[in-house]
Amino acid sequence: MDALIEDLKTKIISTLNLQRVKRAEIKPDDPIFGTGLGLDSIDALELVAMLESEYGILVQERAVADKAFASIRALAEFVSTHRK
Amino acid sequence: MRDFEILAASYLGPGGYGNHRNAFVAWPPHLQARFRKGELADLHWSLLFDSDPARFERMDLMSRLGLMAVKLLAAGLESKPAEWRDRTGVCVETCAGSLATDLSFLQTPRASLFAYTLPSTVIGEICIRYRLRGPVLCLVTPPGAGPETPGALVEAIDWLDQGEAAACLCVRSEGVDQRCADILPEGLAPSAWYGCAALVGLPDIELPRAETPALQSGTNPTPLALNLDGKLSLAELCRSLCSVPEQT
Repeated sequence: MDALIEDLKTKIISTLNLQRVKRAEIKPDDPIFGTGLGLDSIDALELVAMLESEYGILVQERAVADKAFASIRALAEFVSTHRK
Repeated sequence: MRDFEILAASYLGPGGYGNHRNAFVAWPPHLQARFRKGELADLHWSLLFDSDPARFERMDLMSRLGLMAVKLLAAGLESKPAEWRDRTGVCVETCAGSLATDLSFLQTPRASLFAYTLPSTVIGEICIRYRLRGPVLCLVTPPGAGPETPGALVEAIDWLDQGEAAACLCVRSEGVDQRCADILPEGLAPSAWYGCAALVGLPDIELPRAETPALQSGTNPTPLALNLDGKLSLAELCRSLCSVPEQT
């Protein structure tokens, strides 16, 4: 799980072009959206696209996305459960 | 034509940057060499200011240039009262528009690029940052647009004359690269990327305070009364007021 968390951090940084964010600065249990990384709805679209392209996971419902993107750890658990 | 006042002007391009109160500053040679070649990875808010606006690093060049040009005005916009901001408009003019981003999006469709495939997105970025709620307009114009043709200054004057706004940010943003130059008709493409801005207002509005120490001259800015029966375009006006060297 820790390796997946680190992998997700790397992919989020590269997908969203967060040039000034270091992996170590992203706390696994901090919110991804709103505070923390300060991401927004456009970033959410990018992350949904990333989940499909990198892990083969299709996110089609808002409620599913809200839960999966609550934090990096939540996202890692979601990916771990649903990846193809 | 009614006189109005240019309260602040700014310019940034491959050669350097400046505003109406301070001498034009050339980029360090290593940056200038890259910027002249269109290598703009180092063109960042932090070169000139503190505290990047949210999402700045993820904006396209057109929006970055527009925001930086407005910030360079050093016009104290962040501290203006709500009633001032409610009556301040934004008029953007551009020739290349979002063409560079459109081309990038064609090549790699991404949600983060899609938001910037509109020349007017930079207006949103400016209004969000400075909480401006006056009239807004984006004009796609030839580079030399002046008083005889629709341009940001002409629109701003009309808004001021009609009472639709008490002040206006006029911004020109040309986020061009070689791909744009290859597509735009010959003679139409701006020769290089640049951004410039002017804050125009009616003679009786309160002067803005200088707010950026690095660019502060120590005295309050004197408004530069200008009658637009002159033939200056926004870019020419800003270059003139910012003392941009001819070869820049």
